[in-house]
Amino acid sequence: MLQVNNLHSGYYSDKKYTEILKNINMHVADHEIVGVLGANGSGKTTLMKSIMGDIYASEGDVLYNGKSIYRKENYGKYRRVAIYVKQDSFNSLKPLKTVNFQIGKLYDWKSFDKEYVRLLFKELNLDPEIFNMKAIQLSDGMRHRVVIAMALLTNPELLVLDEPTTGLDSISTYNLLIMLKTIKKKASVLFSSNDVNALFQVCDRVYILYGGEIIEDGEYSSILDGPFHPYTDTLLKYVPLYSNRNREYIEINNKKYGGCVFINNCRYWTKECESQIEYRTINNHGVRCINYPGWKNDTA
Amino acid sequence: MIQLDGISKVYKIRSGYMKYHDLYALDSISTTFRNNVISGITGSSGSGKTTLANIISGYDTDYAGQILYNSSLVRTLGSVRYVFQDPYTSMNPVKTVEWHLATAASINNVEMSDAIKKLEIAGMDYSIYKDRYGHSLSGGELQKLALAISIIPEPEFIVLDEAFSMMDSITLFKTLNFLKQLKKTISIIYIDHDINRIAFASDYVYILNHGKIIEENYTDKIMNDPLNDFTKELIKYSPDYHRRI
Repeated sequence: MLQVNNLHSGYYSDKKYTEILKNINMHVADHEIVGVLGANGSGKTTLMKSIMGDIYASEGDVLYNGKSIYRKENYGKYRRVAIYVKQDSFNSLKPLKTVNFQIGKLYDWKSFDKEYVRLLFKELNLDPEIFNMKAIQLSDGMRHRVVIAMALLTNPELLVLDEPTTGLDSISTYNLLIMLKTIKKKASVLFSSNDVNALFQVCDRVYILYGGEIIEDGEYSSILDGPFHPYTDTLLKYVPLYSNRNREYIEINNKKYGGCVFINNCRYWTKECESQIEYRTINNHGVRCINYPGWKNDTA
Repeated sequence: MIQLDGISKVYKIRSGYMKYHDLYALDSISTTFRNNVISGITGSSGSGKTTLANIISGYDTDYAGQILYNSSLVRTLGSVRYVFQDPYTSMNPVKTVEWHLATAASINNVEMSDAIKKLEIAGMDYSIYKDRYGHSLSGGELQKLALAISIIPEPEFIVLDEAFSMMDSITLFKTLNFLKQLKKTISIIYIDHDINRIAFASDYVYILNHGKIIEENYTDKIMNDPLNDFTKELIKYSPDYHRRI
């Protein structure tokens, strides 16, 4: 459905081009939840923006059903079926107007099927009394869900969510994830987060981003069973959970730069890591690490 | 030690023309925060966590009830420090990290070298961050700086009100491990909405719901054998990548 080929992207500041994303290859199939996991500053938001065509791509292409979205004749059609929910959902609504008003505005004040709207909101576990509440009266979790529900009213084929779980408490996060499961029957979902827990609870496939490069991808279960990249291993090991309560943090700083993106903090680095590293795929599980499976045998 | 005795806080909510009704943000809370432990407070949003933090740290003086700091009613200046939820409001975007540290050191009459030492143990390298401006730091880095500044005057208590909400999981793991070492000298009250994070860091847990403490106990007891239904619900819905929805 969505195919990203060899994408390079970045920002202009003071007429100088800074490249943030390098060589991104990914795809989203029909009726699938795909997660993008990365630390702060790894380029998640930049990836989402360039997939939506909001920023400049210096190289590569994004194909939607085989057609490039960067062409003028395809772009308008693409934006109608792919909906982007920003990190800050408050800016998407008029603060002093009710939800009813926002939905009316979505339909350009033409008549619409009110019963369908009510049914959809009910299906997503939103109370009917929400229609008469103003945007400033809604809580963070509620507002996120209203924005996503409104996005679904336009019957999108792809829903792009940028960090939907920040600022939500655990019960709201749970409700949001349940809702994504329901949406999966209607549309594909691409969502980015820095929260390992929420992502692995709901995604079918996961891409792991570090320093602007995809370093690992695969089915959620195969990543959980045995990560191929040392960074993923560290990420899954150091999650602040009750079960990891007595684990000590070991700081690693090699003072090395160049070559692999993770070379500075990797425990298993060797001389070969400083060269250019190719992306390999083994049984639908891709990895950008020259020492795999060598580093795995060291730990065993 | 901080003892709370019947703390209540009422907000007046306007319900019509010249009509108001009371909303109990906190409803007669009596409890004790011990020395040299990490006390974790958790609950869903709107349960009064931030209101309680404001009252303990002395930012909010409009309440009913009594607070005893080491069994005296008077709070000595600088004995309780507060780290806010939003780091962007507590830092000046057009000043450098060096300026923030120097100001904090001069206000508290501390040598600059001591202040730098506090920054280093909080996990920020002074030589790298010295000339960075507030606006160029990310949310997680600002929150780390806020934590370092709060421990400069060597307070007895620090109150962390969702102070690490913008960190990614590895940085958070590192910072919470640092808190476990810090508790030998400074007592910590740590507030977060995720019970799993609270249980990871703290020794004693308080659960708030609708302005009341519904359960308080040692972490192992709360996680393995919760008594209240709301606590069970919090543990059940807490995100954990081992449990798939």
